[in-house]
Amino acid sequence: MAELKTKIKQNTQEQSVEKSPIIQEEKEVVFQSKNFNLWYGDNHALQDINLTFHENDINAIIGPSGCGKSTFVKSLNRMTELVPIVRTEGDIDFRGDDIFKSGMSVEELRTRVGMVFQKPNPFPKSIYDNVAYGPRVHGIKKKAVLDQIVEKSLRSASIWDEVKDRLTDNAYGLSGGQQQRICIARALAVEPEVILMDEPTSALDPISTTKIEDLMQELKKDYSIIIVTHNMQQAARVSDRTSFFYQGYVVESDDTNVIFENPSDKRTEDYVSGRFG
Amino acid sequence: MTVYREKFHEELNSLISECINLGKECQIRLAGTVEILVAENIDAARKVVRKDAEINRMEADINAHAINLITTQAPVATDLRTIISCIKIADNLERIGDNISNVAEVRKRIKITNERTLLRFKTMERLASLMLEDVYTAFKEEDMDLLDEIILRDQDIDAVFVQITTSDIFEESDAFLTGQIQLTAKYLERIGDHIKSIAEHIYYIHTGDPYEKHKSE
Amino acid sequence: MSNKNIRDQIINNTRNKSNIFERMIPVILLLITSVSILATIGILVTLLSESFEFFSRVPITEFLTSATWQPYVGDGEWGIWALIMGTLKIVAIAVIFAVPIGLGAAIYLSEYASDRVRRIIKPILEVLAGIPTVVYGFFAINFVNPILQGIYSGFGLYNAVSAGIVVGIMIIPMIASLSEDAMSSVPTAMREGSLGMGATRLETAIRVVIPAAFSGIVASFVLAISRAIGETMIVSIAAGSMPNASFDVTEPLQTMTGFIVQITSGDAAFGTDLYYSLFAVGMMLFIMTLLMNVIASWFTKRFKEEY
Repeated sequence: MAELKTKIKQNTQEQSVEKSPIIQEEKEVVFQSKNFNLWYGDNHALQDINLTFHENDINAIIGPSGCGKSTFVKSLNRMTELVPIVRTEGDIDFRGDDIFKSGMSVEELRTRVGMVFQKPNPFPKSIYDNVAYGPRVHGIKKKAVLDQIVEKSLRSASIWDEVKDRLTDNAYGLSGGQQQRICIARALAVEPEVILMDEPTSALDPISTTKIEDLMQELKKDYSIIIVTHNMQQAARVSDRTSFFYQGYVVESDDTNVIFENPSDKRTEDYVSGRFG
Repeated sequence: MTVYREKFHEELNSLISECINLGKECQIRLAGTVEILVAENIDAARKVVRKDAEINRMEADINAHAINLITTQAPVATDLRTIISCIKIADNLERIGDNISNVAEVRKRIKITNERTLLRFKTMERLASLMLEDVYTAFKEEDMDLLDEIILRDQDIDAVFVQITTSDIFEESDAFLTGQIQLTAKYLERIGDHIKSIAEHIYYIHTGDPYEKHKSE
Repeated sequence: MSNKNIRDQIINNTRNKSNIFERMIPVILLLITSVSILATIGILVTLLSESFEFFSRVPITEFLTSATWQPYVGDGEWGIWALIMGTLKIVAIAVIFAVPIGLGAAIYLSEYASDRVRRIIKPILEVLAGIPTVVYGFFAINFVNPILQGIYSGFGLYNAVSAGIVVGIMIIPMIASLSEDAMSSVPTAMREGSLGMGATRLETAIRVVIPAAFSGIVASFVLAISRAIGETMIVSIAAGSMPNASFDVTEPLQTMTGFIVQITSGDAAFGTDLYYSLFAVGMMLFIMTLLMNVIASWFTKRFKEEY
């Protein structure tokens, strides 16, 4: 598998990446934003965001609608650039490298930082082709290798047993919860280091939600996860650290049990207690 | 900023009120505790014992109400601490009720006439009553310093208890009477301990830290 | 109080809706639809019966196997391949020219162009579609051909390339516009899924968007090719009227449509072989277009990605 990582990187014009020298609480810093600001046209959507995310943590981002949490997470893999009126100031460092200024191509960034979206969005291809899409785009052609990657990714996404006998079926024939796990497998197939999840279970039924939450606990061992959720119980159940966003800025960011048991800021207390939203 | 979950907040306030009412009920009964020991008629004592069932019922209601809130509302942070503490405080109050009832049981066995002993008992009762009153005030006004003070005052009740059990009783000759006096003193001392506990729970609601942590600082 | 009033009004109105009218509508619409069906059947029947008359005079083997079409020589030589080759040369050149440009424009407009650019370019493309074919023909012979002759002197006054290129220009908007519609209908979520994995915009366009928009794109090709097959004016003006079955694109030729125009605007006395040959050629045109639709249908079923 290590050679696959190398192949993928070579295809996206790898720049040498230095591991971040900042080490907090024994865990390496994986993402750090420094005074990050973002405007949609005139709308100052993100204000002076200073956050740090560590390796192998599940980081939850909560906040009422329109508070900027999705916008922030989409900035981490530069998906916000798909919207032409976006303008940013400030830095976001991925493992110590500024994602905007250093030589890292946006394709490489997105390979190393995968994304799962709110509504499952598999391609209208077979399950196999969906999961193999990423590796194929990055130059892996040999069937035996692809077979291996597809199986490994589907296993990691806890869906191998359900689909192993119908890999050639169209992904659209699956249920919503299954489709979302296929999307997770697809993101895993390029061996990212960080997985961004933008409200991944909000369109799913409770059992699928539980399966994916359990999956996150497994994935945490090998990946770092940043999840946006408006479901506070989910954030409390699943994450190690939680950041509370409100109207474009970070009100509080701390260990999850602090945020939900004894937060420092009254606004955080009011939000998690459901006094406003 | 619109306020949401009005029903939840109403229910939470209602739970707190139930706790306060239970406290007030205990307060009322506490005031007549030592008097029972000199009552002419044993029936008065029997009545006190029977009426304890009402306290038990009130505590059971508080528990049921709290569990319902936890199940249906998924409370967090201060709300959760409040609900859990209400359960514990209600438990403490229920035991205060039991202790009051226990003192009445003593009257069913014997009447205590020694003036000095009665005075000591009355002192303990009075101290406890003031503690309970102040705990309510501290809760309403979120006065953490007052809580510290109340918790210290439990030592005053303990001091009287030590007085009774290590010197006074040696002056009595009737062994049975001595035993009953010791028991009564113990019941009254326990009431003080329970009120101290209540104060600690209130501290926890407001700060999120157990009182032990604060004490060691 | 007022709720009840509104509710009553609504219920009353629902009861009063004319039942008879509602039931007559499907019948009326069916009658209207039958008009177009009857017209199609009528044309088909006419083509068939008159062609049948033609084949009672000219052996069908000669029609299908001979490569010479010379109606005025002696009894007439009736090999349809000459005309078919003429049509095919034009169509092939038009397609080779129009598909890359049309598809390229579609990809640019749907995947790369900003909203503002799209709003300017798309209407211009549609103007291109509105230019009368006679103007195109004129343009072919007076403008395109001299340029071709400048590049290679072997081009005659009438040839396949000048007509083919201009037919291609005429069908570009069909391919571009319809393909772009099909590609734009592909949900953005799908593109985001691809880009989120580190694919470039081009890779996303080719590997995700086009396969998903496939049936729409193929439909645009079918329409464009059918149009090219049936194109009459441009080829009449610029391609010539000398039927031959050679592969030489610098010589004049004649398409099936060109032949039909030549005869109907000239001298086809009723009852002659020449007269009936029109229907046979028309029948051939119809079959070609039908065949193309069938192939496209098969092609789409085989390769499209359904969502």
